[in-house]
Amino acid sequence: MKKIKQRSETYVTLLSIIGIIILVNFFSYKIFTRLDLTQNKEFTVSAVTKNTLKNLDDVVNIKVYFSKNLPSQFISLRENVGDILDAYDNYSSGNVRIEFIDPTDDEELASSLYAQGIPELQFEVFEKDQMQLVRGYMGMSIGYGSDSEIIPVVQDTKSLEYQITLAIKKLTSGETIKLGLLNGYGSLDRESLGGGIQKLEELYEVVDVDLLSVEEIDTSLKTLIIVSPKEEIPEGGLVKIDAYVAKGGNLLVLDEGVAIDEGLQATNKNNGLNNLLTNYGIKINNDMVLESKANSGVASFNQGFFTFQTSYSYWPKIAKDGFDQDNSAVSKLENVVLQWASSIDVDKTKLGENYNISYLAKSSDKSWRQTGKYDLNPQQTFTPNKTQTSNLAVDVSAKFKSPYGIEDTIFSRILVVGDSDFASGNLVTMADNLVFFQNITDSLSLDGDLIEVRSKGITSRPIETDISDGQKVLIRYLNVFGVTVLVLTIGLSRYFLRKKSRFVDDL
Amino acid sequence: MNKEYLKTIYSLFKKELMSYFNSPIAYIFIGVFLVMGNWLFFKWFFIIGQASMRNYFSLLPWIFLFLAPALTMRLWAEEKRSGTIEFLLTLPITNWQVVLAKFFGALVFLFISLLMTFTLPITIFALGNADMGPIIGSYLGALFLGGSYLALGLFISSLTKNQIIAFILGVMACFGFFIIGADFVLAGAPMALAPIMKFIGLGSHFNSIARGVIDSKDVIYYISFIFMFLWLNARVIENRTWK
Repeated sequence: MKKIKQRSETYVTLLSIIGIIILVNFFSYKIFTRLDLTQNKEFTVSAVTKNTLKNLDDVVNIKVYFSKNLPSQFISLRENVGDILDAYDNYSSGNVRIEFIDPTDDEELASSLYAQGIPELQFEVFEKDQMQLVRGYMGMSIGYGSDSEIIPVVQDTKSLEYQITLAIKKLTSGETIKLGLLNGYGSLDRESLGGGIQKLEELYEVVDVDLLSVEEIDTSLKTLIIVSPKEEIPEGGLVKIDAYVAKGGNLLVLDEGVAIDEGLQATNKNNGLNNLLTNYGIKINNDMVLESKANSGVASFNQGFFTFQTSYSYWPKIAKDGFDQDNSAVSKLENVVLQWASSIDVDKTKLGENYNISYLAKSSDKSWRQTGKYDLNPQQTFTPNKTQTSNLAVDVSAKFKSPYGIEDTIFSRILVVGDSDFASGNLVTMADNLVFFQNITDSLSLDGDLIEVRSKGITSRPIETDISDGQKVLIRYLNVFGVTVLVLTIGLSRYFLRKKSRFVDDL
Repeated sequence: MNKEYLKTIYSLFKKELMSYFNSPIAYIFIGVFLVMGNWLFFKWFFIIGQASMRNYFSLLPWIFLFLAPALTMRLWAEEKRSGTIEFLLTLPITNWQVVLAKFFGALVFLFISLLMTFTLPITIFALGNADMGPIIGSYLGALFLGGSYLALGLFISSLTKNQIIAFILGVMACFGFFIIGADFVLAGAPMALAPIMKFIGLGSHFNSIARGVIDSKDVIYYISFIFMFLWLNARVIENRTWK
């Protein structure tokens, strides 16, 4: 009898304890605090977001359209989106209203979402031992007054804060910033720039600029982007660019001093643009910067039917140390790979009295420059000639002296990268290249405002590559056996000491 | 809770902890743990070339899966088999005190083993610019996860006299609780159950802390889990005469 009583008491206590635990955990999901230990505060909203939210003068409605029946791999995504939006709620003092909506089975809402551009997605789900198709939404709309911006599909939370803050800024600022992209003269157009331009268009209106058809370049364009013109720009065109700079327009030039054609033949380039830049005091040299294998990017080459990959010295990789740590556009970058890049020199004597130079990216001190003849074969043994660091990207602000006689020039900024390939085609997706391209454009066009938010997404933290195989083996074995041997030695000596003392005790 | 109470726990705890180091078990355990973990980590470290311990901490739960039950298997089973449990529990101490002492003994031992991996963060910081946050978070998460495995293993050890059975059941139970919240398990689970399974899974909370974010909900979950099994353990010891 006593046992039965004891047993039922135990079960009652057990059930109440489980109940309490469930309750405590349930509320821990409602009320929680968190401590973000990551260096870049990856899970905390940035100061820019906080400021943007503080300055809101009207209500921003964020509607998150997440279906409840999404495949389970998206459960944590939904949670993370919620976590980020909680922060928006916290800092907006009531000016951000967040609503999670499940559009499933609501046909009216579904057609309205379709009209807004939020697609219904299809997922394959493995359930009840067979593949099933599940439809669902993972979009978001941010509304302000009668305007709204949408994020059609939230794929991850890496850049979500950037996207939301950007949308809020766009909605509340009223006007879109315009950028120009130089067309013609064999320069890379929208299509070849692909992903990079698409990214820019999330924030800016990118206008094509054709030097032949305009009288002068519209000074409402905040920045003119010029990417690798292959043919010579006639003087008339250069005069227009000069006039634009003289009136305070910013230039972003991605260009190299040596052109590589499709057959991997290298020739020195002369498109006239370099002469204009040289007059301003920025010179793209007719050379190529090479890095040791350890500091270069991996390229793949086709040889007959085979494709092989190799570290290619003509593709210098810029690691953390190579970026200007005082410049927020690049300070958080860890890994940008340039392709057949040229060095850049700045002649300070041409910059007048007031100027500011940031050497954004530099090659390592083990790099060297190649001029004249270029053997681009990836399978050769590269031997450095004179090793030295070279500037690969510079950002200069000054009252640039006009070579065409314009007198009252005002301050403008010219940012030059000695390579254009990094921003084009597939290469822009490599490492941090896209972030680099976005950040330098933003730095020219937004005064460095949103950069802080985006740099979060960078996850690459390369280890030092300058270690020999012997050192690697040493590091490995020291780590694996070093402490182990020490622990075992202590263990053995303790064992024998104890045995000895026991023996003495026995005596 | 008075001072005497804690003092008793402390002296029992010290006895438990020292018993590891007075037998060869501790050294063999730490040796195997270090060689296994570090070897597997360095197999890929230079190939991946990233200054992070992420790969180490994705291995660690699997290593713990075997090592934690190995630590706890004998804690009760052995006392039961040799009959010392009767002696232990006739002493003027409560079951809770014994359970807590055994648990913290094992936890501190696990903590010491984890400390012995200090060469990994040193190597990584020497070779690259690692982010301290996820590393601290991962160590803390590993301690919580290890603590949960230990609490579960200890409970299972109290159910049987046989160490081998305690070990095998311990591994299975830990595996079950670890895996239940993993993405690939959730993918095959009914949709209504998936969020609950994710919540119960030890692994999903570990991943959350290992990102470098100490979130109160993960900490509360782990503490609840540990408390729950320690409490069950105390009950089992108390009611061992039921049969």
